[in-house]
Amino acid sequence: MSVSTETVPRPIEITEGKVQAAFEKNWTVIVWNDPVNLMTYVVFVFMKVLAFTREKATEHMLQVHGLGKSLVATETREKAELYHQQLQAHGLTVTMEQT
Amino acid sequence: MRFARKDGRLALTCNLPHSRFLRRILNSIADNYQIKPAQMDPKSAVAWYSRRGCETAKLSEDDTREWLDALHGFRSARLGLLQEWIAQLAAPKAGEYELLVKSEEAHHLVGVFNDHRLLVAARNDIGQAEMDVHPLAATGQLSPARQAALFEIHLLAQIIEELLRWIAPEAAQWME
Repeated sequence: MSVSTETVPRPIEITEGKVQAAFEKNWTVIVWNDPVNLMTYVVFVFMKVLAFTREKATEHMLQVHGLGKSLVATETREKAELYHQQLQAHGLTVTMEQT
Repeated sequence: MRFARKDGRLALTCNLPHSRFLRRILNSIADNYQIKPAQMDPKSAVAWYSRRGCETAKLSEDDTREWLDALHGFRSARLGLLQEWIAQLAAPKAGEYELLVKSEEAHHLVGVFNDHRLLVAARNDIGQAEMDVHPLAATGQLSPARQAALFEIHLLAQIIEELLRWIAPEAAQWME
């Protein structure tokens, strides 16, 4: 009985590809302006969820307020999803995209 | 309405009308937290359970449903706290009403009030133009229901600002 070895490398390649993709920091998290959330509240959420300093949180909040949006993180898909979900759970308007 | 620290907790003391106002809001939020995302009216669903980010992340329909369920779980986990706070605000002490919130739970109170603002704004079509109108100048420009909504949104904004001064002074002082 012969055993085919040709099929062995493929799953490994696929697994390696998935592992590489999982560690690639190519997902951006964007917070969008909205008329209701308070500026102070947005600073608070950025500090709490993203562990930003007050200065960095303020800078991004002002970008959201003035420019309509701010890119707050570029991360692996898993971490971007975590930030996205936590920011949305706090009532902010958030999207994430692959770069 | 007064804020203070008491026995390591945040104490919000108020009179009967303010207590009724807060209880109405907390009861309303408790009701809305129990509604599953798929059962929410479209305007409210956009405010709390927007699918926009799931679309840009190219999530499948099943993953999006799971995502929204997780968001609902985050909110409904506050139901126990809400019941506790409603009960506190219903019991007067020496003619006043006191809400005592543990420091580690105070951010949930901020989140609850913010959620209510988002919902009221969405349901009453309050956008940037309406937010820019001073509540007292809204008479004649907005329907009575929308005036009331705007007033509620602004009043809760003041309460949130005050709460943040106590629980997150660094964030509250971002302008300094």
